[in-house]
Amino acid sequence: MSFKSWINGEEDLLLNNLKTTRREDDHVKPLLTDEEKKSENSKVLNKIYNVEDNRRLKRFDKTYRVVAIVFCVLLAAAMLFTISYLPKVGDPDTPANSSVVSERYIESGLQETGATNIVTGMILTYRAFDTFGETNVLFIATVCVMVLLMLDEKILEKLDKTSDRIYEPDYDPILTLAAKVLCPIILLFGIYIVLNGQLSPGGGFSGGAILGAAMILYNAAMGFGKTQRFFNENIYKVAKITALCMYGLIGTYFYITGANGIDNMIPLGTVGAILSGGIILPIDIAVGIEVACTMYAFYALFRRGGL
Amino acid sequence: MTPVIDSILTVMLIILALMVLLCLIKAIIGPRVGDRLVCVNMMGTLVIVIICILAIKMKEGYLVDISIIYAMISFLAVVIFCKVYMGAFLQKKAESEKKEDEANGND
Amino acid sequence: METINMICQIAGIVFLFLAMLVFVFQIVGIFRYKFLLNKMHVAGMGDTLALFLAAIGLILLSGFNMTSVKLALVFVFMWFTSPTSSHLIAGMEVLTDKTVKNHVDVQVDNVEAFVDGREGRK
Repeated sequence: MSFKSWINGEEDLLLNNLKTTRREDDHVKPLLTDEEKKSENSKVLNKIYNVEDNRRLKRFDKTYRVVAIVFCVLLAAAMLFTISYLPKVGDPDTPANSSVVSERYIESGLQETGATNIVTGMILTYRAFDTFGETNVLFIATVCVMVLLMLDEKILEKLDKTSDRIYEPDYDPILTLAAKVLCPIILLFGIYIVLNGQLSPGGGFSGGAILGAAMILYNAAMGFGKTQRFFNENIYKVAKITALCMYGLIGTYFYITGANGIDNMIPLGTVGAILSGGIILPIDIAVGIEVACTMYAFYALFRRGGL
Repeated sequence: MTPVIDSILTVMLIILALMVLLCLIKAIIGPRVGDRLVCVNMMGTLVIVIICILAIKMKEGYLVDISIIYAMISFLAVVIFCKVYMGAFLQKKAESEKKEDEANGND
Repeated sequence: METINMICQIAGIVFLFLAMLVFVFQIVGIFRYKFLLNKMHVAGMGDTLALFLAAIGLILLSGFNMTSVKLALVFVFMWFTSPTSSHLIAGMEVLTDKTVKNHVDVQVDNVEAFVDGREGRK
């Protein structure tokens, strides 16, 4: 017991068990105030580095800037030099246009897939299995981000009171009006790109990205409370899993019937109409929903920690 | 589309590209966050005009779709950045005010 | 018909050159002005005017078809978004710059509440 008090400095064993009391910290005056400490620190730093007189440091600073600029210019020059070797638009001699596989895509792609946009026709019918893998990658990416960043409801409620989101201006009349006018137009444009995937450039991936961007804009203007009225966690789960399963089912059906030579029940339709292209349209819709959910979920998870 | 107009459009594209480069340099120099944001916003506008001129020059109407998407994305970037930066700034300010209040209260 | 086409194309090129001129003014303004709200004024106003001129020029060049309708859509879209982003940047600048009152006459007492929109809400 006495040893412990000796360690703590309350008792001195050598001086006849003299009891000592600790000085209160309030009465202790610090040697240096904060400002003095800062000035001392800067003095030391100045002595070490001697920014004004150190020639080597100055020279290094100058050469660093010059080398950085020269490096950027050289990089730009190398890229422009490489660009001059790119084939011209519509050149028939390029490898992309002259290999056996692409010849087949170009010659009989329209007949077999019913899509005037060859790229969409190719990636969603001939290579649908590959695109299914890509969609799965998106799904797994959001799952990983959710595992890392998703927070519990109780923690979220606590965080809502302390995070920087409560400080940001939540009602900006001009931004709110702009979002009210623009969001429906952007959503309509995204839906147009998704549905026109087989006819014009675009398709599920780009259209889904536009849908997600519209939702992010609405969220930025109106806040999480209003967005949760039409898009919360339950709807997110249902939409995402339904889209993935829909793609899987359609793809499986298409592969079983197509690979075994059974007649496909889905008609190709007339070329050029919206309801054409067989399985391309439903797969496009599934991919679009998947990508839109991924875009919005990334934003919401990084911003708030929950949907 | 006569060859004269075609070459005039090419010259315009080159001038616009140089302007984008100047904007980029100013965005790197710009001492404050606001300077950089103004420059980035202007770069977005210049790129949209470039894409539209390309669409007319190459007679590919679908390029205009891309410029719509580009306009949307650059607007979204400015909106999100402004909101996040304002929120972080106000939070810092509130915290420093709180600390000052506590220091004053102790005295 | 030939002459009308010719006139349209020449007018389109002239409008595009005017747009180019406005862009040059913008670049000069961004480099020359010291205070940020001046820069923002030049950039924001120039954006709308140059886009207007470029839209007219490009529509005259392309003639009336699907592409010109899409072009008009792009520029109407930009007229919405460009002033909105200018407004946001200006609000951010007035809020974060402590020396803003040396340059402009800020007539609002509580800048935070004004940027937040609380004053307009009541």
